[in-house]
Amino acid sequence: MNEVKTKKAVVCQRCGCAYPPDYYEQWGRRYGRGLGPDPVCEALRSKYDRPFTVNPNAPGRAMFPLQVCKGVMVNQDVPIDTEMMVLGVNDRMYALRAPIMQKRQRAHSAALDAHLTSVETAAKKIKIVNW
Amino acid sequence: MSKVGDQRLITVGAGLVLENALAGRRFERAPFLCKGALYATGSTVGLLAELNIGGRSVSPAINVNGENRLPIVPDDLLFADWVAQPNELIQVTISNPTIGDLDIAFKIELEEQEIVEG
Repeated sequence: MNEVKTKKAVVCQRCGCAYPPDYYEQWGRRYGRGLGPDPVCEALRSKYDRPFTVNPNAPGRAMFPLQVCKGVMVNQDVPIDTEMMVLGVNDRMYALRAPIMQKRQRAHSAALDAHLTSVETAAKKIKIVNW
Repeated sequence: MSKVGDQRLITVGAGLVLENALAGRRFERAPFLCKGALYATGSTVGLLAELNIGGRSVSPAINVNGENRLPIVPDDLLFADWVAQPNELIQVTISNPTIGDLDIAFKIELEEQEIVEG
């Protein structure tokens, strides 16, 4: 029988995101800056209970607000090929995570998808006129 | 002495600045001579808040925590014990320098003060 190789990780019980095993020791330093004293999941989630906002300067930047997951973390063995999450300390301005979240939101919300599609269609028309 | 206040949850778009989060609200201006406190939490980290009273700076833009809840007293205190004269503008400026849209929940408490002469 093939044995699945595993590695140690700290896993969120709410969203299943895996973080490096030093999550508790480095809480407040490498992980979870500004998230309070107790180690919780620092992954991002979308707030679908709020309306999505359209940036007046860039209509294509419409998205639902982001929130922190705050799920309970536990030590767990995960398969060796499990990808670790993008850390907040490496992505303070959400440059890496915001486009991923917007893509997910677009797949989840028909209203957001319709808005972004209309913006893209209008942009294409403008390009043709300019050309 | 009476204590009044306001609480709000607002979405701040990516790269935008909300000049005054209290604009158009009941306590945009201090109703009487009062001592105030401002509490704030963000839906995640990255937001900045700044407080000016009647054109006087109480603080520069400082980071708001990312506790993702309505403010708890006193855990989410930003500034306390600032004084506003009657009818002075209370300006809470929120800026979001990140690429993602974020929510901020803030609470303002105003406690009436007495002038003792003699």
